[in-house]
Amino acid sequence: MEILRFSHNAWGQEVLEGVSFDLVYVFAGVALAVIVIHMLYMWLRPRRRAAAPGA
Amino acid sequence: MSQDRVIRHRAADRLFHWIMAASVLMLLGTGLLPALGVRFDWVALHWISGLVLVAAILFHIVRIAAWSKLRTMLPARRDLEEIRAAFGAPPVKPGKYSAAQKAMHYVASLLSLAAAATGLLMMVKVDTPWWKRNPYWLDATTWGGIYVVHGFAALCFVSVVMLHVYFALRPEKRAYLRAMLLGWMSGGDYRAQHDASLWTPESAPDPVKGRH
Repeated sequence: MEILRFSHNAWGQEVLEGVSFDLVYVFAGVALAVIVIHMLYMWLRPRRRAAAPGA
Repeated sequence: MSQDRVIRHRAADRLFHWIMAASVLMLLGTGLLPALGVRFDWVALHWISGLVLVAAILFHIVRIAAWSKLRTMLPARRDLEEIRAAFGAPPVKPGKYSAAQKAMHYVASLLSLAAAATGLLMMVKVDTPWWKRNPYWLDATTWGGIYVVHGFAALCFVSVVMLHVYFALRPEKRAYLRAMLLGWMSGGDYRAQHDASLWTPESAPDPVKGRH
């Protein structure tokens, strides 16, 4: 997966075009992973507290 | 029956938030969907939404400067104590904004300013009612750098919007979502979640009696 996009101008020189939009899936995936981890943490937390000695 | 409510967000601040939300969603849709293969006439929608966002940001900056509202959002020692509390230290109550809310605001501010500044520069390359496009205003390398910053800010916004919506919809954050919609939070939520010595809000008008 590329991070940046390049093209070539009329003289054959490489020109920077911007970030690769394939990265949108990476950024969405990272956010989704954080959401799932947080949901699991919040779901498990009361059970761990209840199971803890003296709770 | 009297209602125990405090004001959290004034109407002008809520209006700014929702205009920013609408314009950012429109900018992400018109900016990223064409790049992902969805074909439609996106250019005018994109720059008009961008100008709406720039106007909203300027309004917000003037408002916080004129009304000295920045203080509640500044980093504080209490923020570190909040972070420690998340890892087992004794819990502490924040002032008006928690450390997480401040962090979200700073990230969104940084991304908005980066996207807005580069977007305004990129408008030189777009035909508008006020000028004709001039793609040679800057050299190709500089344009490339501007595109990278603009695109990277957009990609970061994808993550930020997803996380912001998720946390806004969490059941324990319902008081904050309601405050961003209606302006007020209950006195119970205020006392349970905030340190009154750090944030003393005004009482909200009684919805039944129509007074404070």
